[in-house]
Amino acid sequence: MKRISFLSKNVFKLLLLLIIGLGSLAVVFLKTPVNSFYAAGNKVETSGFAINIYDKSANVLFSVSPLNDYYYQGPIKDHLENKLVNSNSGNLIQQAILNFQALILNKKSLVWNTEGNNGGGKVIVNYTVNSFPGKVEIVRKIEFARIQADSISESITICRNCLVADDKKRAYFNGFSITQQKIDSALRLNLIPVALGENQSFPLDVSKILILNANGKIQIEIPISKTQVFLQDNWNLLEIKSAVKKDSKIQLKQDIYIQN
Amino acid sequence: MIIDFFAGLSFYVIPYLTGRFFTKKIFQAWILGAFLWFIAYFLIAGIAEILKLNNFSQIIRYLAIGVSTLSFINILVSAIREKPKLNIKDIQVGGFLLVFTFLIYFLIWKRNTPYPLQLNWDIYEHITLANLITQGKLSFFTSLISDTFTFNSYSPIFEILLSLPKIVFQKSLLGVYWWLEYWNYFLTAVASFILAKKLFNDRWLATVSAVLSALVFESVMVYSGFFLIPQTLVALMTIFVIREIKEYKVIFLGIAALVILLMHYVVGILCVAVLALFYLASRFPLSLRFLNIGILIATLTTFILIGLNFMGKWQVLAIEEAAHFNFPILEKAGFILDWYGIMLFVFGLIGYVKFVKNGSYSQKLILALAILILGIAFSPFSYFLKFYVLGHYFVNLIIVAGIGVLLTNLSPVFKTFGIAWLTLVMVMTFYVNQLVYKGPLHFKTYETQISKGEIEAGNWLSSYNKKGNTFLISDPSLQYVLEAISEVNTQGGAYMDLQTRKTLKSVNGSYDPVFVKDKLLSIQDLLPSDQKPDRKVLFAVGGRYFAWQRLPANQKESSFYNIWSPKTMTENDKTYVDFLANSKQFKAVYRNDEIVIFEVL
Repeated sequence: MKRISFLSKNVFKLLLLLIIGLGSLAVVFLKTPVNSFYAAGNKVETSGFAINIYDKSANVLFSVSPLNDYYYQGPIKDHLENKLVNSNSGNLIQQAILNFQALILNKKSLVWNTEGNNGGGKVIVNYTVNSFPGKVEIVRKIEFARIQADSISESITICRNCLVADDKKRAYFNGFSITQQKIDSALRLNLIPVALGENQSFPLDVSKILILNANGKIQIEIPISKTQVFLQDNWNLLEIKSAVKKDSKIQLKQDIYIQN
Repeated sequence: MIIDFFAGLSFYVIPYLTGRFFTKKIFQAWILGAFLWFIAYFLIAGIAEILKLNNFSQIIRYLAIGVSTLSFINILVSAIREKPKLNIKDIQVGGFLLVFTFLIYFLIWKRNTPYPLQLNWDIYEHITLANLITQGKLSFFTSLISDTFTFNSYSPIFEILLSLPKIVFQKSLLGVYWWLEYWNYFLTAVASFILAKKLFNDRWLATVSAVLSALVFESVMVYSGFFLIPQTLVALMTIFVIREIKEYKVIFLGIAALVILLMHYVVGILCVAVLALFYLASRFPLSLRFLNIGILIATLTTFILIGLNFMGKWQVLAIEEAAHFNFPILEKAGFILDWYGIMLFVFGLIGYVKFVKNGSYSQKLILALAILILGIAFSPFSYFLKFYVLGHYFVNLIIVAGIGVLLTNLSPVFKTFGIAWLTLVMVMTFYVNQLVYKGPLHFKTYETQISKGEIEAGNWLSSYNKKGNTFLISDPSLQYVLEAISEVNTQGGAYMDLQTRKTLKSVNGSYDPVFVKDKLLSIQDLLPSDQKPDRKVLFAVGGRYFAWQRLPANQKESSFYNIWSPKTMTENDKTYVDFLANSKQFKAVYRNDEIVIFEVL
């Protein structure tokens, strides 16, 4: 009887220590959530509406957001989220994992959970950005409430005044907005200017998309395979469209090499 | 790097070996040695002045080496003769603390800050002063040695001790400091251990206290443990004195109090008051009932002091910077959460109740002090948060007492598990806390306040300044770090005066090289002794300079706003650099990826 009482007192005290410790960690993680990290000097940070990746001079290099990503369902094309209702940098468990990974494995990641809606109803899009040497990996986990998409466009909003090129030395513009100045800037960098028609994707022989600054320096590189690429250069938007298995839950991975 | 390691150790070893001639007590020897060196510097500087000797530094060097060698031989001889017994348990504890602090310090705190990069913004002014002292420029008032010091809040004793490794090892202090701060961190944990051991007479709780002390980083204004600056050293000294206060002779206690005051006038006053309290309490014991009343009064006072935050904020010093170092109460509560999680609130409360109910004489005394210091530090007066540097030790003890309530009578397995869990929680708390502190210090792949490019530029400046008549102008932060590395004089370093700030502000974006040159040449050092007629003026520009020029006008006029980390130059910045380089008034004499230094012709 005495032994049981001793044990239960021990267990009670230990449980109390556990609870206080967990409470303390919860406060720490929620007060200071991981919402940014540096990948080789480039800051990756969540804002209220996007994940932004900055160059070393703190200018936005590119950003991703459910407000710019698309889903395709038959003839329908719509943003993953037309209205972003809610977003956070991860729940307590995600924050704990992010911090432990960073501390023990020196692995830098961040999470951005979003909840919004589009013409098809409620959508949850959770982004995870993982850092690897020379690149970031963007993982999108999409959960539709009502619809099942055929394809998803993982869109990237690229830096202003940057040029979209490929590994075949071509620079791309939209036909409706192409100007002589844009053509000249491509020619100056020894690139062949290509004007894309409406809804026309990049040629199929492209294996890499390159984003160049005005001086021709490569800022980012995106490997492409089995995907269609579209450009909306008036919105600085690059759409990378992949067919997906029809399901209410979809996961996509995208590698972006940062060379800035 | 290896020499810097030993040079860092010598900051502690040389004063100890000096004082060891008079006492065998380790800490008493150190404090006496520090005091003797303080006196010796002034004596030797005075004699050198009278005799017109130019080798002040050499005299100090030979004296330090001679005294240290003699003392070391003396210790060796008496060790051979007396054959002192080693306490295995002490060695085990020491070993554990060394390994634990080493892992936390180098694997977390300095993970992305390799040798000799730094995370402590204050060190540069201390290095600058130590450099000047090395040259024989000495005064009791720091503001008379360098115009980087606009306020005399301490004597130069800290910098005198800092100059010893530089003089003896002939090394730049930047790398020395990289190691030195680890020893300060280690000693802070040791001090917490021995204080807790004395208070609780329990090795487990003492270990918890050391671990807690090593993992609580007061990342705003306080910095105990992680930064070696006068205020942290003064608190550390006080704890070591308290530990053996009963064994101190009055004369030694007087010297200790004097050294503490010389080290930091403001924090030193609190430390001396605390010492006096401990001394009197050990000589004239009070009743436990009286101490309980003391705790009650301390608690009420603390409530009143913290309550004052809701009525306003008061600026103690009439200097511009002071207003920025007075935080709203919610922000201060946020600091506590950043530093401790909820540990202080939960375990602090449990510890408080335990000490009030059945605490010993010393425990009640410590509780009253901890509460009072907490209240003072969190009262709405500018700079008062600094007082928490002493609170670090006492408040930790109350938390440890609270933890002890839950650990007492647990089986060794449960106890080990409990301590391991709390250590994990504190490691995570510290990890998140230090990440926030280091966030703005990211540069390339490092977390640092100084870059390798800046160190290279500083080394070049040092070799350029052979005649000692070079005067450097840049933005406050760049000239602050470059002055410390190169020993080239600037106007005020990071504490540049308002007139110089306005002058620099006026040249922002000017494409009139004659105007820029005239403005720059109008900048003078504030100390007449440093206003050299044959000076050669250099103008250093880099990412920091341009980032500073892009700050709002009011921030450029304030010493509170600085460019805390190195910056790269933008394309526009490079265009301006090219403009200066192509003008007849400026000649680029040094250039690297981050900085261009112009001679103003």
